[in-house]
Amino acid sequence: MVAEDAPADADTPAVSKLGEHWASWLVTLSAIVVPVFVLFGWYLIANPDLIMSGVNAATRRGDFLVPVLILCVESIRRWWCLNDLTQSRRLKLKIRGRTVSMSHLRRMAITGCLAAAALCFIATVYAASQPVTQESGLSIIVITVTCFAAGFAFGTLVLRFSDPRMNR
Amino acid sequence: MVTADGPSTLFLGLSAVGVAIGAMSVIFTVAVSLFVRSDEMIHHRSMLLAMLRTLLPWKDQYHSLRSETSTASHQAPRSERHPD
Repeated sequence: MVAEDAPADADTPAVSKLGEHWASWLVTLSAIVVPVFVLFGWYLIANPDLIMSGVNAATRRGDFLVPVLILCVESIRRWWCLNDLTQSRRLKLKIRGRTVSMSHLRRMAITGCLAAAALCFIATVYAASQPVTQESGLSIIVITVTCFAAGFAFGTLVLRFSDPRMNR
Repeated sequence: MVTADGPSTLFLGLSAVGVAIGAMSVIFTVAVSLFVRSDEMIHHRSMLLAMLRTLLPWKDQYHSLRSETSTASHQAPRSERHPD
């Protein structure tokens, strides 16, 4: 009985660390998701139908560019800190029978997130200094959505490959 | 000097780069999730399941209650068979 209980007790700190690991990522995501829900809720008070115009106008103005930039930076931090170079060289991935070092994956993810963050930064600077036209508004929506996709995809991927005990 | 169409052209270029980065990241993540296996991922999955199990305390209570009930039902005839 004692022998059966021992591994469960030993796993408890690791499990709670895993909870923190995922919770901190969800809090970062909520910086974008909560304003979207608030905008939906605000328009739902006046209109019974689900209206996208609040979210659309905010995205067109570039309101979500800075939160998306922060998300991309957080993804880079997670790849850099949670999956450091020594650990990523040690980790081996199996792709259809072949073994590849994790460092290749890490390099690609950091490059992708850096490019997305740089794109968000340039778009933020120009969106703040130029008047928003129909075309530029549409482009800002595309930039916001694609950079969010990059930050979200790479940031979620690092959670699956990293050790929760290194969470900080 | 920024012309009238300057900002739109610039944003068009930026959005094209954004589409390339976004598409690459999504394809890359899906491919890695589908084809890549590692010991760390398997360990992570088992820990995630353990965490979800701790979030459902009623399940543990149900199992402990069930084991107690089965233990009691097994012990009762034995005590009847060997009364002190």
